[in-house]
Amino acid sequence: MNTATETKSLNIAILYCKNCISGDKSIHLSTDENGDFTVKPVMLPCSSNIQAYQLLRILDKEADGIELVACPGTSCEFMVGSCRAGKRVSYVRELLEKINVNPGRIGVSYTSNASVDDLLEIAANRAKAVNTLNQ
Amino acid sequence: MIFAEWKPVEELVEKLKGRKKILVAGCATCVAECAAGGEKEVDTMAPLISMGLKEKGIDAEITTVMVEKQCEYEFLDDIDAKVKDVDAVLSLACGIGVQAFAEQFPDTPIYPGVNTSGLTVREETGVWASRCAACGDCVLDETFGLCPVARCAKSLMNGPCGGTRKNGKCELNEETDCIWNKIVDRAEARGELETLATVRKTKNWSHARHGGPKKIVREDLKQ
Repeated sequence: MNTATETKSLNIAILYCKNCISGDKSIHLSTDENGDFTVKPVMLPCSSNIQAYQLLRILDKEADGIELVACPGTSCEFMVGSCRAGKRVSYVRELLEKINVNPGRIGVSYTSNASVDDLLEIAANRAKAVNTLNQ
Repeated sequence: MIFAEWKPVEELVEKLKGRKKILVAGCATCVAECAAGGEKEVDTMAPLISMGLKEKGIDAEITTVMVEKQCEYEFLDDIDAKVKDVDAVLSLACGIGVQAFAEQFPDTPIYPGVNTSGLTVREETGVWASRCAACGDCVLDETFGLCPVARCAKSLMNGPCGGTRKNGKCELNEETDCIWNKIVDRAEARGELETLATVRKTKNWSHARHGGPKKIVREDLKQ
């Protein structure tokens, strides 16, 4: 993970449900305009497909922050996918708190018909949260 | 099955902070069933320990391994090389598995990652309840299949205590059934209530923990 002195190069992983994206499902994002962070987008068939251990592994080795992007609860194609995703993020946040690691490194957003710009904004907000909490 | 729960992660991080190479070892049987030491839990624990140690400024190398049964020595033979390559093991097996591990690898410090707390049944997803106390003198035939040793807070053998609530719950916890109330209900439903009035043989507690550590030898199976 980057330290407070390296806030210019945060790695943010955006794990998004393919059903909450409009248009082309495979998104390519790299850095924001200011180069404050890089984004790694990962498409999921459903936001509930990601497990707590995978989120932790990403936080440990690959990213400074994670945003899990899920469909709003009522529009989840698999009925309970978004709900499960939210629970897993809460669980991971609880675990991070216990080991004194910033729980703000992970969050969940609920959206539908999101564009690339929307995802970038979500990533920017997560980067901001990670940055703020790092300082 | 044997039930276990994770020890507090912060406690484990604190204990492991002097170690540089740590092996997190899971067990694929009971603790996997109760979601404490299976593959998923090992994969969850490893990055947590890694991040917790990093937070303390320690860069430790964390590896993982799954053992089919940590309480069987032959399964432990398979991981000999992995254990010799680390300076500590965090075992997510029950107390039996941890001890078998420690006997097999006496030179490697081993830390229990879970607290083993009982013999349980899974009532529903995420809910386990105690069913057996391994007392060594089973009386389930006399108590209509309900164990008063494991399921009565006082392990009473001859009926409910005076603290039973009017709604049939235990005086210690209003959500817990008084097991003697249930035993009576079941006896009544079977039309065998009078059997509970029978004077029974005194329970032999020497087979339980009270009799000291147990060792069972079956000459018919022993080689």
